[in-house]
Amino acid sequence: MNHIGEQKITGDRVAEILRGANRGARDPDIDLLELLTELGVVADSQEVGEILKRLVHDARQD
Amino acid sequence: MIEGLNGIGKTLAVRLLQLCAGTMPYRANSQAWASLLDGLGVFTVSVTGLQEVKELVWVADTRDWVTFDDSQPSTEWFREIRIDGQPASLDEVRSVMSVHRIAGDEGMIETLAQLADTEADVVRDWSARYAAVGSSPLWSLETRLGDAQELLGDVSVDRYAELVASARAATNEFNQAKKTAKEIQDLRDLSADTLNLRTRLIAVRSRTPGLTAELAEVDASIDQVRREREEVQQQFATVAGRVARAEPLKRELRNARRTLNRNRDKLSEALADASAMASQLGLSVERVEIQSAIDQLEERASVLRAEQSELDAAPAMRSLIREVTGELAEAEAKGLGDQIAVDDPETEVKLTVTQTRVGMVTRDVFLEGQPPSPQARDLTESLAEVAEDLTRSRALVSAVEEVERFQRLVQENEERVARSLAAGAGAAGDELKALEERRRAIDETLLQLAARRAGLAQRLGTTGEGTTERALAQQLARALDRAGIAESELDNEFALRDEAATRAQAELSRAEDLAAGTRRAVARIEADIRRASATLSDHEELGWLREALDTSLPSSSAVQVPELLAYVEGARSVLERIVDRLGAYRIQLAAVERALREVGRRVRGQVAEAVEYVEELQGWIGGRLSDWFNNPRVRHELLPEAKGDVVVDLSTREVLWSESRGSRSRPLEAFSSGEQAFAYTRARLAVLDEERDPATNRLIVLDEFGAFIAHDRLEGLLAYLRDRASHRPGDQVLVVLPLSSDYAQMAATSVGAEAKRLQGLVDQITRRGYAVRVLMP
Repeated sequence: MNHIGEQKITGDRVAEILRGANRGARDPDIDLLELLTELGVVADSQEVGEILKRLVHDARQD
Repeated sequence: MIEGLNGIGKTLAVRLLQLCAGTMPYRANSQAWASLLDGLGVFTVSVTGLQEVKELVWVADTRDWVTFDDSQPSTEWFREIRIDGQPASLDEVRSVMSVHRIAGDEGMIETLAQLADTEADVVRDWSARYAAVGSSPLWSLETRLGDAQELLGDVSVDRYAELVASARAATNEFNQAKKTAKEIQDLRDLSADTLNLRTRLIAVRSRTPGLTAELAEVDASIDQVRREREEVQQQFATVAGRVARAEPLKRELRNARRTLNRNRDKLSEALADASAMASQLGLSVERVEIQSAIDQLEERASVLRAEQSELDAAPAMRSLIREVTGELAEAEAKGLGDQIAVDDPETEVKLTVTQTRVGMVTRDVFLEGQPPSPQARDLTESLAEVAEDLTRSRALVSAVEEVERFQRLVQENEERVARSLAAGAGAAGDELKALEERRRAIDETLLQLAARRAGLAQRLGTTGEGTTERALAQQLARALDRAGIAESELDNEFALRDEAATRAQAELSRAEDLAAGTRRAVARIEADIRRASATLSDHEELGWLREALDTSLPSSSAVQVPELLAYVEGARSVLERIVDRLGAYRIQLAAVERALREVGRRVRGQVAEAVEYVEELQGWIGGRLSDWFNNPRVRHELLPEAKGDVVVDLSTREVLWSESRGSRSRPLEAFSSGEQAFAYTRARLAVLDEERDPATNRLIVLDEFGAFIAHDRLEGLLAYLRDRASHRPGDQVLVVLPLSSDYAQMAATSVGAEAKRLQGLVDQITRRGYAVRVLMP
């Protein structure tokens, strides 16, 4: 849990930086940062498939 | 407080403690960090004198840390972490102890710049771990997406529409070229027919006078010979009447001669027919010669057919297509219509039995409308002429057989007449035989003349010798009028039109190739679209995409290509948008890192470059610094007279605030010098006091504070620390100073307890390079 927790802390810090650089409309893409953080924590094939499905959903909403 | 010689590792020790407490004090790619990784190796750190716990112990090998790309230390960095002898994580350590280093030589400018640099390092490290090309979560997503895109191929609505439009345009161009070629060909044929008429007219004009005279001569001979025959016949009848002794014999002779005459007339007709036919073919009425001519004509026809196939494959192909489509139709009737009949591994085009048959029928219709080239037309005409000659030659053979049959009958009749004469002629028999011999010779001559006349008549033409020339001349005049050509220009005009027809045919051939090529391209992309649709429908690697799209795939083989393409294009479009998003994200991370470094450079007053995100991040960091200035403790230390919000403008590198006397501003550099430096240190300590959920034990190290000594402000600082300590029982503050006093000399000039204290310091420095003074027992 500790390593995962540390990754999460780093991810939160990067997210904060990206929010500082925010220019709107996924620029920078903080949602993707959160998805990648999630994927980096549980990096199995099934999880990749789930993330891809969420990306497809996002793409169809655009 | 520690006072030490330069280079003994005071700062290194503090930074190692920061690492053990879970914070990264180094820039990732700095020389100092690389030197630590390579130079320290295995180490053990033990910390005691803490509140709530007795001892913290860390064991690690700095050479292990090369393999970690984390921006912050983690539990994995340490071979062992123990709290009071029990294994522990770094998170647990963080809750027990934290280490904070405040550098005295570091002003506000450098603190801010390092803040930007550190944030840049965080982004870079995160990007390396999560977005690196080759191995990262982002890469694994991109790999799966790339595989999906590859499985679906590169079909697109735009590409398909472009190919279909090209095929349509090429077909239109071909149809136009076909129409043009036919018009030009018709003009060429018209001039060719006119030329032919003129050639025939010239030939008729050159040969008619001689032939007519010869025919008249033959007719005169025939009249002469017929008159002779009449005389012989009368003499024969007279003599025969006198000598007849018995009625039966007379009747037999009469019958025999009647039959003979009838068959001889038929022989004459048959011979005339055969002669006319032979004359038309340029042959004599001889079986061997005729058969030889037939053999030659058959060989010529075979050669012409082979040439025709080379010049114009359409007839042969149409024959082949009709043969194969018949069998394919039978296969369809047996239920094999959906079976694959054609599988081209090169183009990956697959066609079912039905598709193959329909394609062949389409091709047959297309070939049917194809005009042959001028050369092919000439060949066709030659072949037709040879075929006609063959037919005539074979008819001539039949005619010759008829002649031979009547010759046999006449021979038999002659023998019968001879026998009758021999049986009843008596003394006049010799005279009758002589008359009969003469009559037979005359008949033979008549046969020859009749055959000759038939040949001459044939050579003069079927319309008759008197009208042929005039009729041909009239036909030529009409043809020239229709063709719009003066007779004197006929040869030249034919050559021009023939050349134009050849060019039009070449253009037609090019247009046909283009049309066929574009149709093949459409067939290929349609096969790709069907394959992509089937892949999207069935492939196990695309299950996630099917589930996410959540729309049903067209499954029937009857579904039209545009519908399939719309489905595949929808999926492809989604994939492309995701790939673009992921690619843009990697670029964004790199741009944010660059921008943070640029903010650091601008804060340091270095030359600014136009970099994406700089304005946003400069504002963001400026906002954080403004928040820091607006902390009541910081305002108290640095801007005690300020009213309202304090604002930090990094673009001008100024702090702005209001006082009762009006608006004020001060450059950031001003907070790093003189009395402001002391205030700034107090402010940084104050911010630590504001920390949320601080660790139970905090070590606050004031490093590089030699300048304070130089400016005689050290005592003021120590007084402030003593005062602060009473309110912060969990904090231990360590002031690290360079050795600036000669304690040995001071000890020598002192007495009593002071001399003893100073000598103790001298002993420590001699033994380990530094001396420790406890300011707060």
